[in-house]
Amino acid sequence: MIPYPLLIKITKQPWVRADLVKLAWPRAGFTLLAIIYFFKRQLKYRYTLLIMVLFLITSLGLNAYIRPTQVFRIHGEGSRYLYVPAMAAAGFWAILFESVFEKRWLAKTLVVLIAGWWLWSNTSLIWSKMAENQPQHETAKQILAYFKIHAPEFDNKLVVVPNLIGYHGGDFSQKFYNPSTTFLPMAAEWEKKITYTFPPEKLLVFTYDAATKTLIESGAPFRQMILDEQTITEEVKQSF
Amino acid sequence: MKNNKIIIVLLTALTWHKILWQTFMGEGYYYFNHTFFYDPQGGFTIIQGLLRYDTAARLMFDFLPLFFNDRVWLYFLFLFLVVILVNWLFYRFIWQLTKNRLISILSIIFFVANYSASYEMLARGDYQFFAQRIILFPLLFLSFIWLTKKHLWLSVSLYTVALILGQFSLYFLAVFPLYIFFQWLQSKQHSFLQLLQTLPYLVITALMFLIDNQTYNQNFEMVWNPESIVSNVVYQFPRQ
Repeated sequence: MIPYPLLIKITKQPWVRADLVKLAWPRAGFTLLAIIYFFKRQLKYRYTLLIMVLFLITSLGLNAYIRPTQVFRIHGEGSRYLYVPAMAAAGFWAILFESVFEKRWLAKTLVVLIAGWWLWSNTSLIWSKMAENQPQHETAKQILAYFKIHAPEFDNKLVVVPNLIGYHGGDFSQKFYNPSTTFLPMAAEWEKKITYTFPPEKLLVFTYDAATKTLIESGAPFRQMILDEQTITEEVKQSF
Repeated sequence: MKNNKIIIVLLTALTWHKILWQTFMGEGYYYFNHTFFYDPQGGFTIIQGLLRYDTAARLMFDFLPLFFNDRVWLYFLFLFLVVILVNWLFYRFIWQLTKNRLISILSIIFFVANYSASYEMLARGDYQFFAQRIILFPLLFLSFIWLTKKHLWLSVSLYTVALILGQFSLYFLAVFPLYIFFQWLQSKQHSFLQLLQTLPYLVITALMFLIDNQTYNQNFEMVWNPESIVSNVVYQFPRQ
């Protein structure tokens, strides 16, 4: 029930003196007691509660069985592996809270406060994380916008693109902006794919300039390198 | 119900509206160049294509680019609308189980505004997670809703289609036998026939498991492959 980043913050407090793994047992114990208590009290929805608990266990179990390393490496950004378990957990907690909600006004207020706190804490976290990442999205958009305008000029060329749009972002540019161009990302060790016979004039290397928010063609040293290699190779050939 | 729809749309919009300003990141572009009918590796038959873990994602990218072209915002609008639909159907799912408005509303708050479970899936530009997984949930929720409306054949058909479209659907399997079992437990007759309703879901999943074990190797020949449907569920990344 506690948002994961908040849980991390709690565990880092000196007064907690426990890591996540150690905290897992008391949390599991508390949850089990809550299940037993509410299962006894909550007659109307007890089977639905059980469905939710078992659905939660099977989905978490499936995660753990299939990708144990991923499941236990849920980092600050949460994990996609929690998407299905979150459905079960949402139903589970909602049933528990409903059972409290029926009682006195104080309990009703408490449930409304918890739901409000959950909504506020998660939404503010989601917004702040998205705002943090938005510059990357803007940069990627600028890269694509550049290729949309200039790609028609790159017929039959090899274009090395900034890593931000990645390997498949190159495919996207090729598909929509110029099918005759080969787009390769920087990270793909593109230099190794070029032999000395490659015509240097067909190589374009783009880097993103954050200051001007545009792409700069910076392939001259690489083209020169290919030319040098070609010259050396020709000299070696002639010497034989 | 109409008010609830508005609540869900508002809640989803409040939490996730910033998605609309995002673009693809990393593997998010993958399916532009790896669709159902086109794959750079080539040579897949329809049957082999249907046995992939990500059929829905591939089919989606056979069609979406025809309408959206390179307008990235349209892809994200599509994602946003599907997420609203999934949230609405999740509400209906909980409603079908409990027939309680408060539980359904609380569930939707806990599920929609969940940073840990949904951020990676929805808000990092990793569109492939959406295409491989979230897109399956309308079918799965509808399958469950039809089960509760006593249309077993329709429910099983929808589940089968969901399973073929994406093996991630396996995560939802537990809900069907659990619901049928607890319904049986609560019924007065304890009819064995009622329990038999669990069989189609289990048999179809098992069949997929068996067929998928007879998958193909890199030379596109049908060979024994120890990788099962279970492991494929989480092979959500393109294989290198």
